[in-house]
Amino acid sequence: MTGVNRRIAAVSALWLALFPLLAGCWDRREINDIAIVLGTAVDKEGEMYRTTLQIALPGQMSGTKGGGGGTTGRKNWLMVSDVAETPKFATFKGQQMMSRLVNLSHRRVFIIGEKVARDGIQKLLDTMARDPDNRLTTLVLVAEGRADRVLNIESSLELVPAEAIREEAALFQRHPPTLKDVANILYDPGKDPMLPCISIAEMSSLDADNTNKAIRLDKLAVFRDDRLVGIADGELRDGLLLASGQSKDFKLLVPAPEGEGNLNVIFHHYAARLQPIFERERIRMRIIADGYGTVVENNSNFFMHRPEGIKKVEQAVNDAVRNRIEKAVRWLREKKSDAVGFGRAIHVRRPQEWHRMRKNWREEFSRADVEVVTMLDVENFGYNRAPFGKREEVLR
Amino acid sequence: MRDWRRKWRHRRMSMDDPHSGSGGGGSGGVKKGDSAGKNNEGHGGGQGGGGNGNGNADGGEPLQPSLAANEERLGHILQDCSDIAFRRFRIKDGREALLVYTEGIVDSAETHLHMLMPLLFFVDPGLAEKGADAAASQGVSLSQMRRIDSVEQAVEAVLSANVLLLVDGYAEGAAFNVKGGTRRSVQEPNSEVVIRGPREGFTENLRVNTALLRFKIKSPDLKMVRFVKGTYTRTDIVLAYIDGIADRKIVQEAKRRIEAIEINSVLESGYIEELIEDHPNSPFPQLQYTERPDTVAGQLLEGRFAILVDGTPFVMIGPITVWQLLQASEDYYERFYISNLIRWLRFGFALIALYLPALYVAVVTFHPDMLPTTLLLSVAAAREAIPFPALVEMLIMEVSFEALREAGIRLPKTVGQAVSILGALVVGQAAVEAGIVSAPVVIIVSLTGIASFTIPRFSLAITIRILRFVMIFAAAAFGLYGLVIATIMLVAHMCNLNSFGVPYLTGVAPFRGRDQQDIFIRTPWSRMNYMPGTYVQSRRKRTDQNTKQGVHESW
Repeated sequence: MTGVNRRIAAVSALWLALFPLLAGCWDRREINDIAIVLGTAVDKEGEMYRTTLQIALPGQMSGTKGGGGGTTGRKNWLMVSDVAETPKFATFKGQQMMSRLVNLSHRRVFIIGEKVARDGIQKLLDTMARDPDNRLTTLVLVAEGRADRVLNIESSLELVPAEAIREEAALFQRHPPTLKDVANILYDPGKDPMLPCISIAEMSSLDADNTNKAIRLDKLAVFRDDRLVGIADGELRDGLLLASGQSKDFKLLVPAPEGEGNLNVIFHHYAARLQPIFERERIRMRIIADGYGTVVENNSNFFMHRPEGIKKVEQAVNDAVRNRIEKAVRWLREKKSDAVGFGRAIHVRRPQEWHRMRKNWREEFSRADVEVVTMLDVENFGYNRAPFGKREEVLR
Repeated sequence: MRDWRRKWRHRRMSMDDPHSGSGGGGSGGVKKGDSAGKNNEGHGGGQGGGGNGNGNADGGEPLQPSLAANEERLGHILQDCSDIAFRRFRIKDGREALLVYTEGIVDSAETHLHMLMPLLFFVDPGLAEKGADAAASQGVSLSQMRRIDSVEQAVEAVLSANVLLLVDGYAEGAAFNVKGGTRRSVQEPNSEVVIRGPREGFTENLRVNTALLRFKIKSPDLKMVRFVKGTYTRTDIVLAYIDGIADRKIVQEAKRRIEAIEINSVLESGYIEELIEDHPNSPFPQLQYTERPDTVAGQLLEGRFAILVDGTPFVMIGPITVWQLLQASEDYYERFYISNLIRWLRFGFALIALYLPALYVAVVTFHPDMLPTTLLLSVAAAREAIPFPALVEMLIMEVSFEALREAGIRLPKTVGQAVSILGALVVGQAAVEAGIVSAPVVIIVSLTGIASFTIPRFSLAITIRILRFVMIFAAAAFGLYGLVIATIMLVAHMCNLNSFGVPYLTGVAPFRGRDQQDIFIRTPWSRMNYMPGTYVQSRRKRTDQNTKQGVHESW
């Protein structure tokens, strides 16, 4: 054996000897030793937090195994829940009921119960930044009532409710807020959180004796700092979405300008700009709503296909949008919550002014004038002039 | 280059050659063959053509004037060689003569027509005074002849397809090259099939192979230097290069290394490859081999050299870079869109062949967070009932796939069917259904298998197969971190490699702008103006001017 060979042998022996020493450091973990958490719900019971984990049961999900199986009755997920002084510690206690290690890296949604939200969400967020297991891209939602109940509603369209909630959030608004967004907003005095809000909907089923439950996402939870101050629905919610530019394929139902019935308009292109205007003592916030929409339904006896008809439709649309935004802003001022982010707009446009007023921004905000400018066009009426299937003589 | 010599000397000393001591004729003959090759460099055509002009310089047993003595001596040496024929006859002028040749490897029809017939019937009696040589050269109508002075030369000539003519009364003989016998004819190469491109492949016959090259490059600059190696096999080796394109230093180095070889037998070019490569311990091939004359011609024209070995259709090319091993000859025949697309596909699949199984092991055992959630759920579902860790599962499948492939190569075609059924049904489907391995692993192993078949050079494909296992172990031990470390070590090793002094990654490391025309993209021929800089003596243009046809500027 020559010197070179001996050296090679010695180096390889050293390498091999190192491997057993490393055994303790290996964080090797097989996929069938981890519990993949897809969603978390946090609720409050007295002074204690209840954390509920929704864990995927992959074995139930796919049909690779032969021998029947099917999906009858058995759920694709497991709910594990426990109560403790802090939400994270409740997770640890939940871990003690499971044979697999909790893995949070695939958590899609983080759902906050209404009661927790009213008490303040900051306490929930600390662990998100501290524990590397968490992902800041998790979506944050508020549940009306108890969060764990909503998280356990089966969706026939997705394998797991958490996934269904995430998809619904992506359809509901343009940029559903993630943990990272929420944390950013909480740091910023010029903006308050506005989170999508889910609730349980009773869906009447075709089976006469049975009602199905579904997860409905159609509300917005508005915060002041980290506390929930109101849940907006209907026109109020529309106004908030429109003012913040968060609306996605916004659908507007307006009464026909003349005659009876309604028009249905969808805005595929919509953007809102905030423009602060300083006038001596006062600030005027101008909201510019811009976009164009398509009439998808004319359920009235109004005949649009004349220049003045088009003008009237556009007028009605602009009025409706302005009304909704004004209503929403009025409501926000009442709640002293700057969920749309006027403060941030001032910060961006006039940093000096902002540093002067950021201390008592809430007061300033409740006094500020708001002006809504709408520049919405209706571009597409469809090619059939009259309402489909209606004789022209009954039109107005 | 620098440590090449050290390694080389070491290997040569350890080489076991029990016969080098005995029979001084044997090793002496090797040297003479080399010098013959050197002298012959200029007109590298004729096999055995006149190289022995320096006569009986280095001793050996001289031939006797007596024919009977010579016959007895040769008969003794070639005792029990039933394929050697001794034909005693009388030349027309009355002298005794003897023909010695090996049956089967000489063309007997030609021998009879051009040697026996004229000597028996038509020899001018006046020639008798001028020796066997003169008699033969004027009586025998064969082109390749050389003079034989010693017994060793005589034996060597007889065994390498010469007909030896000995005439009574002369202490010399004449050997005529009448190479014949049956060998495989030129056929389509099996190991490198192309859709577009020449269909002819090299054969086992060295002279056919050199002819195939000469058909393609009709230039006096194509040099073919001959060497003879192997104490027993006396194998002809030809070093081909194009003078004026190839770097003289590299060619000189190649000659030096081939000359330095001392070995008993050369049965395939692989013997030579292992003896002359720069880094015998590296898993990477440092010489390319091919069965295709067009590939060799293309490489020669880019300034490389080729080593042809008699008895094998595989010709070696050097110096090479790793990029060259990822290129197929078809890249240059198809239009450049097609060849670029296919080349990128190949690059991509080479990476898949190397990394995919390791990546799977790393992601599944260390970083499940890197997979998209839905994909993770399907993988988790498939793995739910599997009793093995991902590493073991992957190894089971990879090893059985390698075994399957090995079995498939060796088996006769009729049995091959059975192997593929066994492989597909038993190993694939049944293993998944029984819950022993998971479906994603089967998918990955088969994808990897396909990927390794896309690499055009088998030698590089094997290297990648070996390294794949290294990667799997690195990934299983340290996850993606291990994979990155292994990759860094691999790249460092490749940067350290060179082939006849040319860095293995030439073009990328060291970076050369002009070489970019033919590494990741193959530029159209109208734009490919330069030879790759490393091998070429001077930066020589491929074309004298840009001769793009069919561009109508008046339009």
